Amino acid sequence: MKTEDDNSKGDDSGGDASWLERNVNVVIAGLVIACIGSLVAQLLWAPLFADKHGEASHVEASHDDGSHDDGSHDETSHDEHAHDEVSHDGASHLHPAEFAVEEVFGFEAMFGFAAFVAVVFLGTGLRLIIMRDEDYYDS
Amino acid sequence: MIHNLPPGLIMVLGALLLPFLGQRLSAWGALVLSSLSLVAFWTTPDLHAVTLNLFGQDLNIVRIDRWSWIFGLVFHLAAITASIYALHVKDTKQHVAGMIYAGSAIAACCAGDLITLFVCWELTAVSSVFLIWANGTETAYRSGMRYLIIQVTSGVLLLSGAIIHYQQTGSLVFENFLGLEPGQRGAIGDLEFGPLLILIAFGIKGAFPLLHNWLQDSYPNGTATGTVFLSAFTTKLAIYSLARGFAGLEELIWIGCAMTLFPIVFAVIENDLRRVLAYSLNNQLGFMVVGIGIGTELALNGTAAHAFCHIIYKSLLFMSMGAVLHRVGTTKATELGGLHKSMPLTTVFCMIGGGAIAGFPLLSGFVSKSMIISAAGHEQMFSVWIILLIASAGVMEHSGIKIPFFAFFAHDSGKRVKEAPWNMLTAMAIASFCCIAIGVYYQPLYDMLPFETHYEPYTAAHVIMQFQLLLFAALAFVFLMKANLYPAEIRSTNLDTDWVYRRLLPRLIAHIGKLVRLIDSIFRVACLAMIKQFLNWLSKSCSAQGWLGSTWSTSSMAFWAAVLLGVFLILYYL
Repeated sequence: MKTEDDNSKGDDSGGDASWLERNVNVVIAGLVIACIGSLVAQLLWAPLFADKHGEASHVEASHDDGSHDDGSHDETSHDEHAHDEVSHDGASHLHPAEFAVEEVFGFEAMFGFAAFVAVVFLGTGLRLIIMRDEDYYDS
Repeated sequence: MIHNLPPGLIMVLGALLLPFLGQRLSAWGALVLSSLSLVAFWTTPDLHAVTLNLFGQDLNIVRIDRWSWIFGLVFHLAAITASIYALHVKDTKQHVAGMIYAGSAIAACCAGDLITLFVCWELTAVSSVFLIWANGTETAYRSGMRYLIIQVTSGVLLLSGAIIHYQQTGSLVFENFLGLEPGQRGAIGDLEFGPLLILIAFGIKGAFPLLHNWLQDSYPNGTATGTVFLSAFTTKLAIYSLARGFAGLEELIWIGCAMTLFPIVFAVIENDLRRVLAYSLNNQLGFMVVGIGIGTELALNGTAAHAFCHIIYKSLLFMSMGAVLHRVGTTKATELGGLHKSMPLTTVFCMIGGGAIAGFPLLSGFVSKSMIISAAGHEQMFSVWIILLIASAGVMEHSGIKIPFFAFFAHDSGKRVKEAPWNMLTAMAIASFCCIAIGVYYQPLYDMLPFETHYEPYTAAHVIMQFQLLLFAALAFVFLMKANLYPAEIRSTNLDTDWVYRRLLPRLIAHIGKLVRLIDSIFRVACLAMIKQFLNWLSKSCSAQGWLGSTWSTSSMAFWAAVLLGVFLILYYL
């Protein structure tokens, strides 16, 4: 399998290699810069997420306090809490993190990379089982 | 007056007149028909309903509410774009089939009762198969046959389910079979037998796992323009029907999750890029089915929005591959590559479609897919949320990267062809414009959704996270290519569930036939031998020397007469 890089040498595309083919490395460098940029962006915006999450956890904490005061109201306060969360969601969908794991730095980046690699490897493995000749059904 | 007829009827009836226009004009006739139908649909009043009494049964042949409106509108848009895309086609048969197909799909999503739905359902099946057969090859003919059998089966199940449902409840109204409101959920165990059959009918058309393979089998065998029609209607009609009839059915969440996952693995190793798109279509349906299963207002809005955006960008992707097929004559990755030099505009349009389906911010997929993923998040369904993220990375793999990369870049195939015809480019430009317009200015789409929403897709967190997911997925691709770990494209057939009915069953039947023939022949030989032996024995016995034929002595006769009399005497006393 020839990679992009092989093409950039223009070995079999004659003399009419396009700008993209001659500058594959520029494209890749651009991608890497964009990747780093997305991580930096998360760092810069992190305080903002933390604030919003802070508000949410504050609400949560106050409800927890309430339930600790009186054990018999435990259930009702939980209901209220659930209700509060629903209305919070309904009012605005600005609350960014639904799950704690989202707050891990670069979670989506690692996840995207890993999921992509996993899918490709699974596909390669699947070939061993299901790949047949092109005219399999015609024969 | 026109509003009292089912929307889309203009296209269905008008299609019958197209043959009179001749080969050259029929394509334009199709475009005029779909545009006229859109005007009629656009001016239909909100919450419009028409009831027709037929054989003593009230049939709700027109029901326009927010669900039918959004699907009806996008079906019209898809029909118009596909008509423009097919303007160069001189085959009148294809235009007739395309118009009847699109018109009946539009009528189906505006049907208020199960019988009207069934009629339109079957009409979509019967008309669309001609778009596959129009290819003219033996493979396309066989594939079309399989497609037709499966689609008609789905219709028969729908009708059976509707009849049973009617006998049990006395109602043919098409509404939620579990009686659920948005936000409530029910289980499959709560369904009666009738609705269960209907669910299977929808599941076949919606390409549920294990019922899916007609999609990957038939769509790549359609004509370059026919597949653009096919990609828009059948499966999305199923999504509409599922949302209408089974919203909140919990099992759909897991069915949807399976649907988002398995096609992405198959797509990695598929060589025919139109089949890759068919797998990708299946994966996108999975997102919608998950949304239907979650069943909250946000999730259902997400499903409707995603169907809307999906129809446009998926048409765009099929159009770009159709253009390649039209110019190069194949969409096999092994024979393509380097086409960006000769088809630069098609390349750009394809990349816009790929970006939209992958969900890049500022493109349409982002504003719709996010709703479904957020809905899973709001319901605290962690595993569903994770699966949808994996699926999002998978979409980036097969549609965001694989399709544009292997068709237009990659290893230069040395093929130098003309750019796509002007009408194909126009259609792709319109679809690309819609992808960008919806991505940037999404409010009109959100205003059309079944439920009121204040969802805000462009939060800083969301945009950054989406960029991270997609950019690092792209980085993974570069890494795998550089490390020579990305599987090479190979000319091959990959087995899928169609193997069961294309190989296993025919072979099984052949083997059973052989076994029956074997048993049959053994039995025959044995019987013939026995009869022969008996005849031999008989002829021997009756011959002059045989014991029956020879002369017997008088004493033995007297002895046997005495025995006979003795037996008679004993029997008499008993």
